[in-house]
Amino acid sequence: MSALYLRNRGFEDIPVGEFHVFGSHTFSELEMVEFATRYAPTPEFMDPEAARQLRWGGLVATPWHLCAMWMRKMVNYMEVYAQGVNDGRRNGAGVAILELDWLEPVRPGHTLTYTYEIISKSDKIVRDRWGIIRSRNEAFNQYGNKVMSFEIDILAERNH
Amino acid sequence: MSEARSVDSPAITLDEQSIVDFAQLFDPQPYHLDREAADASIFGGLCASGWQIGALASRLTGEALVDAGVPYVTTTQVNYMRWLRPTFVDDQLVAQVSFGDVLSGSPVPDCDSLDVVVVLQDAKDQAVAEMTCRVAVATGEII
Repeated sequence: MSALYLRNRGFEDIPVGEFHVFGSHTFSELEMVEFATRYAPTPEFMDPEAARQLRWGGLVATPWHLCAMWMRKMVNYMEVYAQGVNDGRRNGAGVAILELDWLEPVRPGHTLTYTYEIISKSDKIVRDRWGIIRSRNEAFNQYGNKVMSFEIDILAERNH
Repeated sequence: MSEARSVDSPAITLDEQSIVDFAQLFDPQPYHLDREAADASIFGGLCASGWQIGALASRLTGEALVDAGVPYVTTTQVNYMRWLRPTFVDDQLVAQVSFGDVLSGSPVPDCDSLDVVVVLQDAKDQAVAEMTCRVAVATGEII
């Protein structure tokens, strides 16, 4: 019942203050190397042997890899709880990111847990159809340390 | 106090395989995966995930800085990034990178910081995304 409501609600129905713990992921050495090979091809991020002698004393995840996994966990979550992943989407495209900080290195085997909180809703109406929702997103490692945070503005379809 | 400098990165072309590969792993939504569904979507065509664009913007920024003699290590902060238009299949991207003086210290070991403004442009010189960020550069290695 509540899942159906979450799936169908529009911009006006989404309350500021809503908080979700929406996914966890354990980062493997292999996937870190594969991501880095395409997006940050330097030894610190893609060569586990060489990285041991470099500034972090071992392989670390590419910063954007943590964001990419945030997106994957969000899509998985929205497939269950929000309408639209397989149609026109009521929860639509991202507009902008603010204050994205990568705070601590993430190493192979580390597990990140992702959270988001709706922090504000803009009065602006985009293309007569979309509202803008701002959320604060954070990722915590297995020690409970915050390793990433950012805010993002995302379009949400208005009821009226 | 040196003057602000501006350099261009090498160009990179985003082919369909690269867009779909990223989307399957990280952003499996129809407009990043399937041409027909994408044509009917808010974007009007198969286009890259915004997170792939972010990752590429940082990669190109690093390459532009290294080419300019600045020993880029990684990006530590993105103060602001805005997606301005979709990046479609086979669009070519270049990062225009502007930066000033190195600031002492960084959260990354043995690094200092550099504030950078990046405009990611397509082959028609249209801005695809813009971002302001802080990057880590290796201490003492600046040419």
